[in-house]
Amino acid sequence: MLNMPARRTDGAGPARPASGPDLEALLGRILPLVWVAALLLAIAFPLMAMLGRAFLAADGGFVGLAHFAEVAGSPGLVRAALNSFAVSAAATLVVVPLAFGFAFALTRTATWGRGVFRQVALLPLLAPSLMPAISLVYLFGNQGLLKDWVGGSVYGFWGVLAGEVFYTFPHAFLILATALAASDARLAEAARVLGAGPVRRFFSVTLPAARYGLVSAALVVFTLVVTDFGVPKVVGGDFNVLAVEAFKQVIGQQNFERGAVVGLMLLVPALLTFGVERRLARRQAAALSARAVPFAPSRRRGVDLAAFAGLTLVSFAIVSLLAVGVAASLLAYWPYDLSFTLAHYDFSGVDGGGWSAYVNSLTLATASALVGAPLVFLGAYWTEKLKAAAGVAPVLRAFALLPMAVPGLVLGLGYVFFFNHPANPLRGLYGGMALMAVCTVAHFYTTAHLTAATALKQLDAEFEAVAASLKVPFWVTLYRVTLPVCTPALIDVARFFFVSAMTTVSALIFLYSPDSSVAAVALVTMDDAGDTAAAAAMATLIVATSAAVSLALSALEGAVSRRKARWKSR
Amino acid sequence: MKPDDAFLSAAPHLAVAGLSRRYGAFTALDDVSLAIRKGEFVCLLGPSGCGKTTLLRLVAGLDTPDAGRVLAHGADITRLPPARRDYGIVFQSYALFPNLSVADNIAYGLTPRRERARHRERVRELLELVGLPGAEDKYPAALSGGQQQRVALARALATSPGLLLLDEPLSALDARVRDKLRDELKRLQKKLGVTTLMVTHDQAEALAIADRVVVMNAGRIEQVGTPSEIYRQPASRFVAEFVGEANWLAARRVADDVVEVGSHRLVLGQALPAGDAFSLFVRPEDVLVRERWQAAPNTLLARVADVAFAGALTRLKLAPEGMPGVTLTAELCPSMLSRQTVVPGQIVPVALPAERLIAYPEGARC
Ligand SMILES: Nc1ncnc2c1ncn2[C@@H]1O[C@H](COP(=O)(O)OP(=O)(O)O)[C@@H](O)[C@H]1O
Ligand SMILES: [Mg+2]
Repeated sequence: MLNMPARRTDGAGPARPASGPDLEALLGRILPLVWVAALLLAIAFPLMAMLGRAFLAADGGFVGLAHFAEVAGSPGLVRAALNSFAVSAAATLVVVPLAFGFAFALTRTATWGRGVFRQVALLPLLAPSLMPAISLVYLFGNQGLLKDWVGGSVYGFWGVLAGEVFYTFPHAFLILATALAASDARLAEAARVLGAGPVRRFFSVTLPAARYGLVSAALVVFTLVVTDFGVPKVVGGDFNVLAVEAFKQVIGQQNFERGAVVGLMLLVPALLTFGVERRLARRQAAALSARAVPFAPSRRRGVDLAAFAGLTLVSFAIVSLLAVGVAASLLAYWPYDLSFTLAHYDFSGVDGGGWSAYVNSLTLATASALVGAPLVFLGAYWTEKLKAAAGVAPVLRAFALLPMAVPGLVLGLGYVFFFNHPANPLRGLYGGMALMAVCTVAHFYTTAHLTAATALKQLDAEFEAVAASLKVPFWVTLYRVTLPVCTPALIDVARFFFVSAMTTVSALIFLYSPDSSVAAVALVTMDDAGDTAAAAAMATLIVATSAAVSLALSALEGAVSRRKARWKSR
Repeated sequence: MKPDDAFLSAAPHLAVAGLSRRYGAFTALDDVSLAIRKGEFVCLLGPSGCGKTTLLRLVAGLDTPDAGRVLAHGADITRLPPARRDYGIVFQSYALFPNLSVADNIAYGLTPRRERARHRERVRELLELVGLPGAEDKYPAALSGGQQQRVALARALATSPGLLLLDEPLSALDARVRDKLRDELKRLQKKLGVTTLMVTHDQAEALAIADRVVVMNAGRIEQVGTPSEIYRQPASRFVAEFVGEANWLAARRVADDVVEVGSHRLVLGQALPAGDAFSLFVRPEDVLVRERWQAAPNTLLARVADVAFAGALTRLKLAPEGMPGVTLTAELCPSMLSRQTVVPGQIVPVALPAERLIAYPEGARC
């Protein structure tokens, strides 16, 4: 540090510029602000637009709680709210124990095929939530194969419940598997040494250790169901729920004020969940000591057999709900003519956009992955690594977490109110693919951000300091070290964006125009028009594409990891 | 340094003045001032959490102080970004880039990047210097801790910086490697003449390696001095306790330079500080066991309670007569023991040299 200023005082020509604007510091301050501005535009402003709609009259005057009173006085909406609550609570009560049992069998027993079962549990993530609903119709609907098994009709509470269980299962499973894998084996050991039987051990050690996970899973499932639109749209029948009601009010009746109020009602549980979840996540991290010993189950034939039977049963249900949809798309006329045909994949005779919707989906998913992944990664880099950004980092971090608290349906409503507002200069974007990509990236920003931030936190905290001491600007270190080391996480984020963009409906349903319809939205249109076989074909295309891209990116990740292993072996 | 810097050379190579750094209500660094001469090897020594790393990061420009200044040759560099300063740094974790080979790690700061051949030559030279010739194509994960440390050092030295900053560079190594590398580091520093500021919590390491030691406690500097000053004349009770081993005797004032311990009077080499009650400090090697009793000041009789062989030295536990409950530890060298055998139970005359006794006010514990 010593030569430079000294030379400057002598008037000798400095070897490196010792004065003038410091580009690094300047960029460090500006770039995070650009990200904050982008998130403001993509999340905060649409939300505020929705808030505004809920409290303002159509002509802009403040009406206080008048819209709320109107909604409270409308029996249809009150019933929808009650229905939403009932089905969400029921789904939570079914999914959480089921997913806990599944995760428990996978993490705490030495049963066979655990890797395969794990993948099966995650399969529903590859499908739009309408897919299980369509399969349910084929199984238990008016012409369903197993119609006689169920007393009444699949349309209504029970159908919605079944579809939601399928749809939310992997979310609960992931949270609970993490919680169970993280709990300390030494406690279980100690309890056994102290003579506690298996039942007592379960209630005194295992369950308490997983309690944060259980609460988190319950909250997440509840919120997912309350805000889900796909399943009730297809199998809801007369069983009206809030999410579908919001859609009807805004798209069907152009009643924006009511739509905004319903949107707010959906936002409340999501915000609550978000707040509680963040607090639990912090406490769970604190409860996890660094020296915790992971549980290593040993072979106990009886227990393992029971676990295997349970896992097989659940897996069979999951796979059937997917397989029925796929099968129906390939059969001439389920269940009467079971000959093979590809006719349902010729979408020319049905509404919804057909193959062009599918191509749009591919474009949207690719764009979200290719734009979203670098965007999210850089955003996480600013918050975690850039010293010059230290002042702005907390703000950016808060904005990165915000999307998690906003259900897709609410975000979509917000986009309608904000981007479709006559006074908005960005109005031209409304109905176009670009805005749909923006919405998708914003919608899934938080999970992607947390993945990237976790990967970055695992790097040595002093890389940037060393680089600075060597007078290497941060962008060189980002390119030469940080990015190569974090490539697997980056691929992970890209895969997440791709699959999410392929399967999501809730926000996009408010944003598409006939030209920019996407596959998952086309599903809704086809189902509405009664073209169930075409809908099944489109759902199959979505699942196949998600699966293929996931596999390809996994292979890429594997190849990258093998290259990383080379750094370790030489 | 160029010759035309001469008129500035009166100013210290590096100085910090009144440096403070607070984290919320907690003061990590409290009004610290220090000057370092060119070519000097200075160690920041103190217990974990006392602010050593904080001070180093301020010097490196990786953090900004709440008050105070950092000066290079008298010029204020407090707010300069790291890239505008001139130093190399080695962290405890080494922070080697895992995806780059040893050669690419070392050449990371060499510019311009297209001069590959010149860089290759420089890397070879540096690897030779740190004792790792031929390691160019290895990756960091394939190296042992000691080898990684050498690569990190080579990377920090690659651009020939005017200052080398080391944050606990040896702490992550096991004892044998640590001692070896310590000596090599010292030799290398003298050979290159690079001004070095090193952080450590290991007092033996600091005393062995540094030209000057800065003892820190709770964000403040307790003492700055050569290793022998620090060891011989600890400026505070904290320093005396933190550095080396010592006997502590409860003492009361009798006269200006006389204290009473038990029923004995002991004379000190210098006047007592203010107060009536003191802790009297004497190093084990300064407790002298005499062959014969001779009535003299500061001489007393003690019963040998224990004799323990400790390699180069023999450690005695002594129970002085007239000091109930007090145990003195003495360290004897083999040459003394060859003149005189010492066995447990024996009564021996013991002298506590006046100039080796230091009194610290009681209650002024760290
Ligand atoms: N970024 C920070 N935020 C809050 N406290 C800190 C931070 N960095 C250091 N401290 C606190 O300052 C004190 C001194 O830290 P440090 O300089 O790292 O100590 P050491 O002497 O062990 O290197 C410690 O108590 C530490 O907890
Ligand atoms: Mg430290």
